Amino acid sequence: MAREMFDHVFKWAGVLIVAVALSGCAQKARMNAMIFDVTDATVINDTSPLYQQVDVEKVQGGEKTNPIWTSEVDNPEFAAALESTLRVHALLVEPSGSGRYRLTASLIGMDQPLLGVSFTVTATVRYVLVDATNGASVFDETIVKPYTAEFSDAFLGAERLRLANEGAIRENIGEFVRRLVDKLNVSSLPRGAISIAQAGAEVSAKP
Amino acid sequence: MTVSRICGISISVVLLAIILVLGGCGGRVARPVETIRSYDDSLTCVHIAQELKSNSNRIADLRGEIRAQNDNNAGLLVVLPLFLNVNDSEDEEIGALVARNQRLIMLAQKGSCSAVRVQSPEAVPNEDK
Repeated sequence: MAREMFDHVFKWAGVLIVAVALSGCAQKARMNAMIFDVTDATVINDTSPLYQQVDVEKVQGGEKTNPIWTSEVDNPEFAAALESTLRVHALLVEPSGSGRYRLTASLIGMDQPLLGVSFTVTATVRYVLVDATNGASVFDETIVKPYTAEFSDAFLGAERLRLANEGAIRENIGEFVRRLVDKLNVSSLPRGAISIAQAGAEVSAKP
Repeated sequence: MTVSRICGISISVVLLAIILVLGGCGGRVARPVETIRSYDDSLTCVHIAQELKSNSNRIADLRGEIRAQNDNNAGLLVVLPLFLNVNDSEDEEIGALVARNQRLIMLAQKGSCSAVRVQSPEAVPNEDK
């Protein structure tokens, strides 16, 4: 009798453990974990036309986390992560309002699972950059970027989903900065001009 | 074979083994930042100052996470000890950020960035964690 009761309790404990490990509810994404650090591909110098020239005009679309449902990315956290990323890349103008470019970012969606061993979250964000001097749109792209948090990253489902959310936003912002630097860092230079990086690459490529 | 046995082993024994293996499984893996990066020599004083500031904010946040975890652990110890967070991912990340900040200060000195040093109070680890 005592043995049966013991087994019964342990069965339910097992169900609880599996449920908690596989489920994904409700921790808010951390802003600092969504900042994309500078990389070789995104570092710019002070002669770049983007250097401290980007103003964040509007950020929209984030969702508040409901503690009894799934983890989400709040709008203020997303906006702060985007601004901080631009700041560490020396792209953000300070004080705001004086930059050449104005950025609007819209978090269109976070595609996330409810259950799973690995959690893959896909963030979709539209970035629009306008040249404030003439109102021309110089960058208008929707970036779709997935990120997978593996079971080994965190045992608890809630923690794992949060890591996947943070990673998806971090990678999305990173991809935006990469494309922005690719597109404007060189192409905005006067016709015929060549960047120091390009010149260096050409010299080192010679035998 | 009854429902209470798997391959002849009692479910209670299996679950006990799982609990022993997974005990203290809360928390996450560490993502420490690299101290030296390939583009370090390309950084301007603005880059250095902003990264120092950002790292200091991260350190403060991680210390907050550690405090929150300690509170959670106190509760989990009573209710669900399996999910105690006993890893030191946050400490490892703080250590890496402090090392990176020290590297940035060195780069700032090398690059004669006079304003940078003042903005790096978290470059030295705070012992109150």
